Amino acid sequence: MTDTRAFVRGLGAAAAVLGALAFVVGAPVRPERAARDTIISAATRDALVEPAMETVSALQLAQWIRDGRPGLRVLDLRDSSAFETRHIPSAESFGLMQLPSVLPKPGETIVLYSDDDLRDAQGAAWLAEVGHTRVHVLRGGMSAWMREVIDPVVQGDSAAAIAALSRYFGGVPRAATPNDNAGVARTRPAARVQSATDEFGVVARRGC
Amino acid sequence: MIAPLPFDFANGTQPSLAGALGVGIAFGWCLERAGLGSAPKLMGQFTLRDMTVLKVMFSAIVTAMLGLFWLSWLGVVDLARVAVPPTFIGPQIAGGIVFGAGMALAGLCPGTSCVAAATGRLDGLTVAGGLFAGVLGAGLAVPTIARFYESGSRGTLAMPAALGVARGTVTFAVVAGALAAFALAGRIERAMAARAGAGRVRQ
Repeated sequence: MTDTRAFVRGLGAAAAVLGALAFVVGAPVRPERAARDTIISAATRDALVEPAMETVSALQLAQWIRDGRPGLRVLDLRDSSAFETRHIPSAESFGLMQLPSVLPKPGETIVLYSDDDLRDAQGAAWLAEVGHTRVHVLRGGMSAWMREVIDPVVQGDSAAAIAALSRYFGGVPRAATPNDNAGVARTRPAARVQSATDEFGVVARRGC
Repeated sequence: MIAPLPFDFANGTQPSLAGALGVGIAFGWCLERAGLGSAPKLMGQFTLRDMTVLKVMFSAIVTAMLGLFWLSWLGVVDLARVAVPPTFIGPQIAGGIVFGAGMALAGLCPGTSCVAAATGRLDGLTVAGGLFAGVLGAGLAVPTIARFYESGSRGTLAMPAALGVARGTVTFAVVAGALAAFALAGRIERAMAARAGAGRVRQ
């Protein structure tokens, strides 16, 4: 009993010493290793270690792709079979473990997506750790892309613009019906929206 | 992947699943050896008669925290590869309340209910069944509660960033808090035992 108590006290003392040393050391990285490994300045890195996750909507991403936003890179974190089945145009298939090898380039904007919030968040954290400053996560993942871009229900002032965007990616936009407003589940598209501002017309290609 | 283990549990490959099984067995064994497969033991925590849960959990937290800090400092573990679940303030507070109420009612949490079920305890089997029913129900309810479920996202927020202090400071504070809690738990246990003894003498 006395031996056990002495052992427990010893463990407590060891934890206290290690905790106090952690306070003195501050960061869990040796200074010489931090200097060697750091691609960006220490101040910038500190700001990026645990950043809030920036998100982007499916419609915003669609606009970025359509407009050819400079430096845009879209990474699909789902497994390769899901990627083969369907993916966002211009997306590259990447495993989570491959992300640390994606080194930052000036002016680059990375958008991550999957169908798993945790995977997205971890991917964004990893990219921030290797120095990426502009990392966005697609809100709602692939499901949101399908719902908002490929098969959107459009209404109001932005209906024409969204319909045009959807058609650019081979989507099938449809006008909102009273049932949609009442929250009734959607069935097949009922009406295709024609738009005067649809500079691409009905494009018969599906991007994903 | 869940660092420091070289497994990508999410991809479902056989080595990853085998790794997950090994981790699960080790976790269950530790819980059982700590006596946490017993609902009365867990209820002792709520009544302050048995502080085992606090001691075991705080020991695990301190061990993991110090281990990760110093293994990272030595260059063995890359903290960037450790999964940090995203924070959703409101939904997680609501989930915590539901979880806490369920634990107080059942006397077991998900991990300990599995341990209790594995050792043949009927209460463990019941709670584990309720657990799976709850998971299924919550999953089916997600479309209905989606707006709340996804509200208040704060990204991968951890205490150093939230408090604006170094990781070493947080590590030290948690270790100091744990040691103080251990000392206080011992005093509370002795006081409760003395009170129970005095009650028996009066009877």
